[in-house]
Amino acid sequence: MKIKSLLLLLPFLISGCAHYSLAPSEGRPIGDLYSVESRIAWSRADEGGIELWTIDGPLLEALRFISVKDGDPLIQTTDKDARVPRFRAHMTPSEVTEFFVASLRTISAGIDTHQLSKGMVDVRRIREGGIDASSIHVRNLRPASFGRLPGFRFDFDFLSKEGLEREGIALGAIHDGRLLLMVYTGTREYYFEKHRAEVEGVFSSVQIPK
Amino acid sequence: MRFCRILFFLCFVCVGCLSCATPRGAPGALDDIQPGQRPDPSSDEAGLWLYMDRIESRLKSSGRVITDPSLNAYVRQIVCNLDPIHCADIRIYIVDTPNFNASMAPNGCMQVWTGLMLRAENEAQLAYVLGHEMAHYLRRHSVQQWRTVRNTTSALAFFSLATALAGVGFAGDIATLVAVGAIFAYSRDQEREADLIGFEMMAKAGYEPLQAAEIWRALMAEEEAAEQSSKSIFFATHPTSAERIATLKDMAEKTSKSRDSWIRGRQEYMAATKPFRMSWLGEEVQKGSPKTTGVVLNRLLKSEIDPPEAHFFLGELYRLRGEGGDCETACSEYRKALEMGMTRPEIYKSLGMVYWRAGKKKEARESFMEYLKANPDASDRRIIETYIHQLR
Repeated sequence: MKIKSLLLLLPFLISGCAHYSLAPSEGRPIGDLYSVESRIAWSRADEGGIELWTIDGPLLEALRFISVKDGDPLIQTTDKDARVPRFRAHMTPSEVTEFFVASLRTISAGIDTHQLSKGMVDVRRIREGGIDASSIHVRNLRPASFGRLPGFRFDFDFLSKEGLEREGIALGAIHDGRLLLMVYTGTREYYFEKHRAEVEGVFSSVQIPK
Repeated sequence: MRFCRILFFLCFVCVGCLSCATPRGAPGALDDIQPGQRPDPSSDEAGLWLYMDRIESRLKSSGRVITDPSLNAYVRQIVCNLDPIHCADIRIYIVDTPNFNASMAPNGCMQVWTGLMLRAENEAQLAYVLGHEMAHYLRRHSVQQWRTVRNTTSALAFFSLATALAGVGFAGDIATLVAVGAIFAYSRDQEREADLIGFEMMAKAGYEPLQAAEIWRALMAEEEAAEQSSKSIFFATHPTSAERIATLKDMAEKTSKSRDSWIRGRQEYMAATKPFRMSWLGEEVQKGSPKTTGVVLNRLLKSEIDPPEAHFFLGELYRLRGEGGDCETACSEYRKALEMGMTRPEIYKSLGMVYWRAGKKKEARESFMEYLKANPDASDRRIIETYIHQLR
């Protein structure tokens, strides 16, 4: 009986905890902030409050819709680490890229050595990182439209923890004191380019309610 | 008869004393590892090596290892100066991570983190830290600890941790290494022994003995300033103390008289690390531990190492922290860097952002214009032009 229960649980353990549903291609709202459209259907999941879209799986490529309020960190973490960088509404786009990189470094590379030394390791936090944050390089920060808003976009690259090369592009704007960011990442080999045109379509489809 | 008994007893004591020389140290100490030695495949030590071999294999492909041949040859030369006999058995990996750390796994895998290389002021200081870690390897301390913890509740913690972390990639492996280090935190006696052997190795190789206490002292200052959650990985496994520094200083004063000249190797060290120092400084600032990074940068300035760069990155530290008064301090540091002849274009962009934050629009605009003038091909040129436009 016990073995049977374990076998029933196995598919869930293998596929991970995220629950995916299909993102409709037309007029998909991102929270109550804006909506986007896509020519194709994506699988969507809630990744700790962040809307995540993917076609081949988030380890290969993923489009994330991030929204950060003034004073909040980029990604909410389980521990109340005061050192997590916080977004400020007065940031310039250059400072937003610094905030972006610093946040990923903190989340991914910031294994709490004090906790480790005490034997209190949040393994989930290490698993969640997924990227080797010390390898992130941002480039080509430039003005871009985020729907009707003046915004910015930038490119970046980094390595996964296993040393796999990845590429990323991000489109963002600051609206009503809130950072809106769409971030697409994928493996440099094949997957990043595979869906890039679709992502560009999503980027250019942003509708901000008046 | 009685005399014979006493003679026999004395012989026994003498033989016992001779055997004390190897192995040295506490009860349970093992023989030193011999050149080319591998553990018996059926032993528990072989299992430990196998585990470390797997971690080393991931480390190699992690993309974090600096492969620059000159820098690697330089560090290898220091290791070979310290121990020419075992140097061929040691595989060195310079890991691009902005934390102070060096470690040696029992299988001969040595990690030297760039955070250590940034902090060392000269070759002798790096040599001492490497010698200390090599002493743990030569004395097989981690194997001793492995055997000790197997009989304690910590062993359960180790295996559950190792199992949980298995397969999460290299960052996980760093965590594993640190966790292994933490659980295998060397005993006070082993630390003393590594201090002593590391010190003997550096002195024998001709490195200035006083530098051993110097790097410990610098690290202790950093540790005292550290935010609780950013305590150094190295200190998690190598607790320091004023007593330890005093002992090293005392040994150094006695040893210093044995030679007329010693190698400090500051020029050689700076020449070998120069191509990487800007990048290491940048990573140090971005790691998000402003208090300890401030201590590091101020120490570099005091030692007149990278002065313009240290001023620039102090400015960056204050700008990124952005607390009350930080903008003014950042401005002051940037100006000092410029006065010292720094020509890095980014300094003007940083100045522009600080002035803008302070409401000094004219100065901000001029700084951004200076940035573009100094770096006409900047990849962020178009966004900087929008800043200049907004500041009109």
